[in-house]
Amino acid sequence: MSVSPPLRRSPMALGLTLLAWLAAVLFLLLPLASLGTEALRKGLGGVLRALADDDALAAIRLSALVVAVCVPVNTVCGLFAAYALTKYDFPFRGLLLVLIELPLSVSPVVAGLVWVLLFGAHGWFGPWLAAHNIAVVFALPGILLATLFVTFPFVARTVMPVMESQGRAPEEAATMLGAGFGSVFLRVTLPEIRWALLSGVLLCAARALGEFGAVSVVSGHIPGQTETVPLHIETLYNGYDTVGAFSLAAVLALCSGAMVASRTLMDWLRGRRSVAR
Amino acid sequence: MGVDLRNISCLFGRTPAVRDISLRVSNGEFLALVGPSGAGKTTLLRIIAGLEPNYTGQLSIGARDVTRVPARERNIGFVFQNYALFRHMTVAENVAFGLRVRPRKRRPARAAIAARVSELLELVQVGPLAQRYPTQLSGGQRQRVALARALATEPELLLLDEPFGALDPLVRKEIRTWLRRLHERLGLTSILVTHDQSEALEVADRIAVLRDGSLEQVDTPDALEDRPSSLFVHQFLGETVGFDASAGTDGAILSLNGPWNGTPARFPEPATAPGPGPGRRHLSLRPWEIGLEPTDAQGAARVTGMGRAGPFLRYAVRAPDGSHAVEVLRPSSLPPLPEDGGCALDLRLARVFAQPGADDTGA
Amino acid sequence: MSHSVPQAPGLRRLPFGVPAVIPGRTLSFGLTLFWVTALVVLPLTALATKPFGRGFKVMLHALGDARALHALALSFGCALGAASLCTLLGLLLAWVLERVRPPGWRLLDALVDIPFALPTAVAGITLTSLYAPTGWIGAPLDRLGIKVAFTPLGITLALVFVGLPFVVRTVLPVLRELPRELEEAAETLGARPGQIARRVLLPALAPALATGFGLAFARGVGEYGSVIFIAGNRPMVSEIAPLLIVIRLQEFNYAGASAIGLVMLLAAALCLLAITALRRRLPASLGVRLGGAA
Repeated sequence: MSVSPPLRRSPMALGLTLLAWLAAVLFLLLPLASLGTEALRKGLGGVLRALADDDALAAIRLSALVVAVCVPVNTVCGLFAAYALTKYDFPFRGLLLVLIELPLSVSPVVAGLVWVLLFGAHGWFGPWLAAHNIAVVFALPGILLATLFVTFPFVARTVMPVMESQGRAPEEAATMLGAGFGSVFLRVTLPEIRWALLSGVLLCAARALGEFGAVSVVSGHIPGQTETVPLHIETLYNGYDTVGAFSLAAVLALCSGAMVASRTLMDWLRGRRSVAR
Repeated sequence: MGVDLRNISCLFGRTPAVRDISLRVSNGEFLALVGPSGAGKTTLLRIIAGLEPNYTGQLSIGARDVTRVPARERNIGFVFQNYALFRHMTVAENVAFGLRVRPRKRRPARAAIAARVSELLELVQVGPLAQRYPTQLSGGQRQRVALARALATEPELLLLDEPFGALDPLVRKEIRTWLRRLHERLGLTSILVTHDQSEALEVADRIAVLRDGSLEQVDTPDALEDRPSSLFVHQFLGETVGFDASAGTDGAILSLNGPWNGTPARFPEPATAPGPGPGRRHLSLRPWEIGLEPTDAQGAARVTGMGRAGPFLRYAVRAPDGSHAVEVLRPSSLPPLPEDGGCALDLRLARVFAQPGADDTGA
Repeated sequence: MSHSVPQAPGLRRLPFGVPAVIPGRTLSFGLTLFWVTALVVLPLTALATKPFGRGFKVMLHALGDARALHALALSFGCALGAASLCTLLGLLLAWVLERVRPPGWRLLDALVDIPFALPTAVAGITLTSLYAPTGWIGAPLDRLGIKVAFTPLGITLALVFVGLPFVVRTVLPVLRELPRELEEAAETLGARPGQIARRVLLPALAPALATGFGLAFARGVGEYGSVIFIAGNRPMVSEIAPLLIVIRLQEFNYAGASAIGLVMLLAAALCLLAITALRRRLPASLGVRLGGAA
């Protein structure tokens, strides 16, 4: 590949640009277009009918519940972890960082598997849970745990670089002025990172909403009970209900797409503002 | 409020950043901590503030032993190097912060806080900027706001970490004199860290010179200039010209060593020498303290160059064998010396130090 | 500057119990440790010990199984191919987006984020319908005799889809930081386009490209949702390792499942370490964006 400045306005640049557009249309735009087309195959009515289905509604409710639980937990814990990791010195800091990042690169299936190994019938705590009649795997707690695992690093990871770049001076200044932990955290640290935090929360929510692999392993795949929206899409698709599957898929894509887009828009606006200063 | 440091030491990892420093700052005093970078001056300031808890020794502020008192309870005003203003708060909110975060019992009423804030902003002359955000201020204005914020909680001790470092030279000079006046007006005790000795000489009552984490000398600017305890102090405070010399049994300087050996010169009184007895000495002077007298004597120094330097004439003076040259400043009101003429050196104003590295100095 | 440092009297390290300057250490630490232990350390320990539960031999046996070996080879091979293709395409897109800025580049820029926005299952069924013998792309290719869906080729294409944004989003900011003057200076010195690309651009972008490659590869090895629909899942042909884990679990073969899982975990950890090391060579400002990408 020869890419260089004299090329910028040369015929070769035109060729490379066309190639880039071709790749983008072929690999990125066509799937999106196909998603819309498949969903609308029976018109908007078909989409609405698919969404009004009892199992679909149950799946939407379950997904909402998963988001409502996982996002706050990982936001609060992620914030505190970022605070601890950037504001204090301590041994094994690097190890903790790797542990926090690990769920990002681990296969989602592994993320589900670990909970089966812990709480499944043959897992470490399986017999005890069975004796006390508590269902974790193939039930709601398992779904929550699996989603918590895969969405674990998002908030901590987005917030940490910002906290790092601000250093400890704001917190130290607040301390010198007599502020306690509550005041330092709520009035100084949090406002300084609010945009990064929002960005991390959106990412976390988008992933919690769309997670498939991890949840698939620990869910019992019982329609109407332990199926989140992505799992229900699979069930519908495998049952040859293409319109139903693609309708739900389109809605899901719209939701998480909106989250990702608003995040990009936010970055973009913030980027422009900081340049304007 | 006076500050009393006793045997303060601090380790960074295994390297000592501050080594066994004892220092007393009296009430109302303006002390400057100076030293080259890495000398431990900022660390010492942060220890006093409570921002560096890993230290040994004893620290009192006023009559109170604060060795183990956390930073937030020491009631110290601290101005950070880059001001550390809260970027999401307006100027007024920044200044009010210290009062707003007080426990409810000690928190002033809303109106009282507002009154105090505007009073402080007037004091630091940024009243009209109250609703601006820190990013909208100039460096000098940020500096003033940072100071107002530090003063809001009515501290008795004010610590300033390189407060002029980020300002351009013109503003720097203005803020400097203004800060000195403010210090006097409020009757504060202030400690300032700077790497710029001229800043310290201008602002401070006393200056503490640090080197490699140890205290080299603490004294008034005049005393430091006239009686530096070490060559390091003399060199740190300004430009110097140095000569190696030998002393006789009574401690009087007899002759110059090295390339200057044999050059006719006048030497300081023996009383200024560091201890009696023969040995090698080092003479250190400011470039304008060296007198030059025209002479035709054997082995005289040679004037090899000349140029203007403000109210001075700058002479390059070369040793007889030509191997070594020093720069001497001479008031231009004196009759100029002929180029390439011989001259004798008048070194009577020299500070005399034991020669670094010489066996018989015991240093 | 090497002079001996005399030990000052009374110098000692204070115990860890010294209160921190910034308040909240105990609380933030306690919560962090609990969170990390409960959600990461404990589960991963279970995974790391399970395969050895019935001895080392059982574990080796589970891995030595031809089907497991094939699945692992397929996952790693497809991820490798996809990550390479992603790197090429990603470099092209990043360069065009940053240096050419063709009309509509903002749309192009937005398109790059589509794979981030599509949940994996949605991507999976969409790509399948696209590349199936009846699909928009699959049908023409089928006439040419190229089968995409239900073959390793389909798996690779799905992985390119999910991996592409990682490369673009890693390379783009670095390219933006790289002054155009650098290329122009090389040009004034008489370098040909190819030379500029090889000697100026690529070395400067190498850490970013490698990071992007690593991210795309790590994601590809473990990818499940966007692959299983298009893969067809025929054992020994198009059965990926994550799917085999699911199958072993359904067979209640925990040792087999966790043996494969452990291999994937180790691969992920290695990728992460490599990426972390590489990231130190990237501009710090990148952290925020990568946080989103990952």
